[in-house]
Amino acid sequence: MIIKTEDYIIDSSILNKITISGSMRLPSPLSYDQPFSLIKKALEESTTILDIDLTDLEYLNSSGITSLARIIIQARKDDKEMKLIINKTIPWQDKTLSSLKNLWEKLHIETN
Amino acid sequence: MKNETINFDIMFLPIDIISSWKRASISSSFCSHLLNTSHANKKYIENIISTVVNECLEFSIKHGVKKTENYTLSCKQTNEKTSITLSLYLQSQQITLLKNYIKKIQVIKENNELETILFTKEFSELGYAIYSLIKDYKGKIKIEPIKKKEKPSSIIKTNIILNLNIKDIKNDYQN
Repeated sequence: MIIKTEDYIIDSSILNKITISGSMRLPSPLSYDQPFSLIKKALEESTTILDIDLTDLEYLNSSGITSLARIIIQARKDDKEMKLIINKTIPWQDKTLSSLKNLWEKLHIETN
Repeated sequence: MKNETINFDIMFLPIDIISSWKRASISSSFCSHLLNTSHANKKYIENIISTVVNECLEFSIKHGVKKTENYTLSCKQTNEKTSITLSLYLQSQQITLLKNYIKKIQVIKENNELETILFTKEFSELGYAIYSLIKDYKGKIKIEPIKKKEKPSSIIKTNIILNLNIKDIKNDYQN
């Protein structure tokens, strides 16, 4: 499935892989429920490590980071392995996402 | 290096951004574009400033009171630092909470209490934004309530001043 708006695209059409691109600055963690439902579903259905490719995601505000953290905590509860593929040239990704590794030992961060 | 100072204010009504949320992001991009004169790492610095300004705007819109009053975001940049001053209205209780929260963040050891910070009750998701401004972006935050002697009130006009060290940001880019 693909969610496409004028600001961002979330693509979950490949098994065990989610790609998020564009800019996500939604008003609250609650407003991320619908777009991030694709990540939750992909996590439930994953057969191996779920890759989340963020390399073309220019912005994600604190509401989005909080929502992503909740998904990571859910993965920890369900013992599901995840990998965030990040872009080192996008500062918020390099600065912020690396620290999310502390939430779950089976969360891997790969720099692209 | 040329000594350049950029200085500007934007005024906004929180209610206008609540009615059209995208204005926060557009304003952040606009400010970051105006503030960034660097050529070498333009995109990197613009992304940082836009992220920081956006979180400041979101804070004022979500936590500020008197949402139909004018708020101001003042930006100043020199070769050494970028300074963002947010003038908004807060309850005196919120000012105390914010000051205590900033003190708490400063004593937290690296990522040890990440989960507590992420889901803090006092400032909801913006608790993490404040944490990130201080820890990830090495921002220095000062809170200055502007108390009026003649008219004491529980709602206080407040300046929140955030200073970012441009040299640190440029070093991060090179690493």
